Amino acid sequence: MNFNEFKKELFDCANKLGCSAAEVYFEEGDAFSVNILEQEIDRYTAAVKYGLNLRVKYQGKDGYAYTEVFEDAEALVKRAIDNAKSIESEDEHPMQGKCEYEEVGTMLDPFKNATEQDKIQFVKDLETKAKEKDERVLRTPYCMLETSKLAIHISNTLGLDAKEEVSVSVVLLDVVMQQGDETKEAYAFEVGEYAGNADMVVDSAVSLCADKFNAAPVKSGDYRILMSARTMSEMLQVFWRQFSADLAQKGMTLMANKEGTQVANEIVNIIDDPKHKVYPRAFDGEGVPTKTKHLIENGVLKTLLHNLKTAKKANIESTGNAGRASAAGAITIMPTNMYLQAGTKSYDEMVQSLGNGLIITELEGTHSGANDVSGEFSFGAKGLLVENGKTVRAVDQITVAGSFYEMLMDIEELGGDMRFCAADGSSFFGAPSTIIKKLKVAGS
Amino acid sequence: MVSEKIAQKVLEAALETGGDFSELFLEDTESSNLSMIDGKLESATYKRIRGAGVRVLKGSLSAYAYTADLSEEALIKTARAAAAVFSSPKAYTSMPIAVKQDYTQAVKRHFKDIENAHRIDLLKRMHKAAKGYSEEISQVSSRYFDITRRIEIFNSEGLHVSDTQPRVRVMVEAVAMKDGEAQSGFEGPGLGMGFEAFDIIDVEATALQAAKTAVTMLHGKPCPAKTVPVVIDGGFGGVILHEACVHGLEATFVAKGDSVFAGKLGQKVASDIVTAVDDGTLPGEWGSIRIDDEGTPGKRNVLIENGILKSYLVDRRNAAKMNHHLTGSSRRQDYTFAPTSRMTNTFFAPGDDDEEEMIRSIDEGLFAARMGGGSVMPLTGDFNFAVAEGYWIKNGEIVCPVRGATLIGRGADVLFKIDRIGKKLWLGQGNCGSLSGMVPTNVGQPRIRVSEMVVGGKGGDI
Repeated sequence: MNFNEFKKELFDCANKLGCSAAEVYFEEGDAFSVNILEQEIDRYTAAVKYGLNLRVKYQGKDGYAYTEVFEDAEALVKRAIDNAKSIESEDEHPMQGKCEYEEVGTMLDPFKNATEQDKIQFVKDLETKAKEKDERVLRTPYCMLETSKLAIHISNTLGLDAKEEVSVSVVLLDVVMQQGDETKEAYAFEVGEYAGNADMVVDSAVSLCADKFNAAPVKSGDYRILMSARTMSEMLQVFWRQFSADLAQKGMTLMANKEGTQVANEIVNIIDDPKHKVYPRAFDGEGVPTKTKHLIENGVLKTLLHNLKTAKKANIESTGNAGRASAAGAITIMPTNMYLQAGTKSYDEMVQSLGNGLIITELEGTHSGANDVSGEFSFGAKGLLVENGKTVRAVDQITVAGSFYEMLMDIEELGGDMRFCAADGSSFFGAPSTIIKKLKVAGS
Repeated sequence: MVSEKIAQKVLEAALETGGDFSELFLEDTESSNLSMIDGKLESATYKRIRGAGVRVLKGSLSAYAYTADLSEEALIKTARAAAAVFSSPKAYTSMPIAVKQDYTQAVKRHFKDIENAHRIDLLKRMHKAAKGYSEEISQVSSRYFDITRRIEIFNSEGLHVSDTQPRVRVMVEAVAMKDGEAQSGFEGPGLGMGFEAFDIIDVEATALQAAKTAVTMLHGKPCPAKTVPVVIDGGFGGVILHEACVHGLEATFVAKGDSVFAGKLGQKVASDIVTAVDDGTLPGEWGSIRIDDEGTPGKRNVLIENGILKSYLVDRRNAAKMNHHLTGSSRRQDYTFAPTSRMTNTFFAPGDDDEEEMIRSIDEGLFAARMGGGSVMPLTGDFNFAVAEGYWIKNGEIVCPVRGATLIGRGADVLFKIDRIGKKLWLGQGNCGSLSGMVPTNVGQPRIRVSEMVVGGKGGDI
């Protein structure tokens, strides 16, 4: 049975069984990935995938059921109704009706029309380039390209019919380098527009790795910190949930009720821009048109991220940030392309400005070392020691600790090098290199 | 899920381009996820995935293709998509398929027979228990998850096996708030069995523990940043073994030399008191597998014995290359991943040391009573993990709770610095992410002591 036939059966059945509305979220696509080792295809994956998530409205409550098997519509509808009947939360979650979308262009994907052979050759060349870049490069445990094409279709009985096609490529390079008896490892990845730029990926992985030789800890204490664009992007990726209206309404983020108040230094602007070329999209996970907005403007919290449900509860309009953690998940909240706005200084000028302190080039354990509720964090870190505006040596075996909220207040300077360096599902995070007044470092 | 005749055709098609081994993995999995917040059920989802993956090996090279379409035509197409990577003449033919061996074990209470009301009751009881612990508990969220994973595997050596793998887990997060400060506590027990798991799992005790952690940490001081001795309690504390060592024993990393433990079989890698085990055969445990996702029966593997490295964790693809036996722990999240060597239930074996003396004999240090998650770079062994509930020790006594602590170190060093291992072993549940996706694993240990570790936190001296 094809999608359209199955959808019709689901909608008919939902209507017959007493649902006031029904919606399907359908994803269909193919995926390809290849990892090259010593010029041979070490790992290769090709795939065709599809799945459908049914959402029904039954006595005002939402119930979900996901399947990859387009058989027995009635059983699936009954599952969804059963789930809807269990819901006790009184919060109303409106369903988006028919609407028009702005033209937002498509994600720039250098491999959109590439053949499989082209892609394999690209990765082989990437390995060669990495080895030629620096004689200390021993091997590349990961040298891979993943490309995927995905068609998303949201359709409901209220007339919504939103369709979007996405083509995404990710390139990942992990290099191992040796100098004397020291072995170091570092990786770099690029998504979208820059994924086709092998030289850029090689440069960033090799330079990050080369900077690690002769590393040692620094003494424990407070340090003035320069976060690189990459580590600052990762900070946003870790802490974006602080801006979730859903968590705020449940009292699980300290951003709750802070709209209109100063939450960051006045040079700080954080923007969620669904139209940004890194991953443009016209509608969110429930078909609401997306919009560009400041979350923080000149240090003041302007809005949290809303979907139709949290917006209804707050009596405002949705910010178009409904998301789904996976095709099978319930509707939640996600940022789109969220970034900390750049300043003007070059990276070298930022190092000058730092004066005495640490540049943090890598964070470890970002998935576990953060407290989502309090905003406190303690991460493993690597970086460089800076004295009098000059890089002195590499630093490792340290941790950096602080609080996201204090850090926002302590941001002193922003570089001009804003880049989207972190991603989580279809959310992208960008930041420039950033000077922070102080963080606590544990070392020797 | 497909006939033997079709399976045989798929395995043959996969070998057409010179592969020396082919495998067809079929999966039909149902799961339920319920989440409650503030005592009210907020979302309920059901998920069924069904699909197939075809893998072709040629030496140690691997090609994989998968599809959600189980028709004969789609499966053959998928086999050819995987085989397309190689371009040699056909060298091997598939052996006749053996009679199916089914590893499915009896389940007392199947999830399909459980009404949502019973699941919700568990969540309500957790909410009530956590909320009642203290007035400082401002919010409780709880989740219920069950999964019935049906798999069937054919391979070109004639293997034909199937299994049905039930798992169930509840998770509770309690938030304590006071004067604009917030701390949380988490517990997430799970077992590899049907709904009868709740004859064993005490949901109230689980929720109380999460609430206790949150309230204790709310009254804690920020953890000092310092290098000190660390006592790590049993159960989920075993995450140190998982991160600091056993990821580095996975063939994924060892076969290519990307691990500090590569080439060290038979050598001393830990202090004499350390014995470490990965055991997939523990009945009904969260990380247990009767067969792995290549069809090899689960095993008890002694990885380190009295400080000597005895075994790696090895899958089919790497076994020949490493000249190592299969350890029955090749796993994958679902049919969209090719399998690779992973952990099951991984723990330090019990030792002889007195649990109290470990703390009493420390001048200044950290007692990590409950651990959070962590990660590792296997090449260098650099690991980090978070302490969810910690206490500062001075002059042999616990002086106050400390929050926001992170432990970092190098796997190869830390194993030598383990100077105490307690007598009582218990396990904790987690989900481990790696090349073949997220898989359920147990970590475990008795209480242990590490003579020196870097403790990261944002606090000053206590």
